[in-house]
Amino acid sequence: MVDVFTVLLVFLLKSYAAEGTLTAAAQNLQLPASTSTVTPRTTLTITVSQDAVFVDDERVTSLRQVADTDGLYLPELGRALKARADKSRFIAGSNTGSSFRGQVTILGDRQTSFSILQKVMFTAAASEFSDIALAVYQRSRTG
Amino acid sequence: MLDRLAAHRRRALPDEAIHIVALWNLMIILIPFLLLSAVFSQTSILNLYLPPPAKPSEASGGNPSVPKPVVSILHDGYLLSDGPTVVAAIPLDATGRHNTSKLTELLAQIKGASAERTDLVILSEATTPYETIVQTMDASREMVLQREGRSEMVTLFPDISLGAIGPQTGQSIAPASGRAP
Repeated sequence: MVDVFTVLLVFLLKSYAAEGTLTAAAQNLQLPASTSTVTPRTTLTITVSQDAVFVDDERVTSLRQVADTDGLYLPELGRALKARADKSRFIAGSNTGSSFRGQVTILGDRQTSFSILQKVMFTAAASEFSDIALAVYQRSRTG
Repeated sequence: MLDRLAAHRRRALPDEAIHIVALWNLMIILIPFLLLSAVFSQTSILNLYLPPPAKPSEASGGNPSVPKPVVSILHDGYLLSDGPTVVAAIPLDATGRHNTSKLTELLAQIKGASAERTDLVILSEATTPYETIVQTMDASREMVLQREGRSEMVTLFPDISLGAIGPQTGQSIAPASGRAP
């Protein structure tokens, strides 16, 4: 019995550590499903859940504030992204191995309306993160 | 001397129970926790495409940039345009959802006419759900073709940009499809 549990434990620890970057199940977030098979990259993440916007797990603004913002630019999100961009450039300046590529991954709940997504994407592009990828759950193509 | 060794060996093998209580705590608490938090679905990404800025020679007097297919997601269906001209209006299917298979068919026809184009624009209304946009992207990126009993994946328009519907497009597909709303 103990050996069964030991093997199970080792397997779960391995898969828990390997899945790494995009843990959307932890928040109240349901990614949309897509047939895409492109592997996710390790980049900055912007999470748009059902009630707030997070940048790399740091809460930046609430969804209500986003909806109330006139125009497309979200100042709090823009500030957080600019800070991250500056830090990334600073690191790239002293470390020749890394470079600032302006990549960001957006994890959005499937019920998010396009107006909110549009504001987030506009703010990201205005904060020098113009290489945007959308995170999705994989599903098999049906028919 | 051998007697002493044998006696020593006998004394050094007491019948002791191994204490695995601490190990069981680990199993009973850690394994359910890991099982509950394990996500058995795989995540992947969809890359968005930012069209390159127009080159100066094109803007000044050469050919205008090649028109792109535009898919507008309206609340009552799709509006497919090739550049400025409307090609088709695709109403919702029987279940009330957007008809992605018909969209893929029409896009395949456009692709057949000009195979070197790979970029496409998807325009959405402010209230379009994210999931609908992702499904539309899926329908526009590639198509499964049944040929000689095997299914083949044909690339249609993988470079997709997103945008918002401008005021000139209108809010319903009815005028384009020629039916009363």
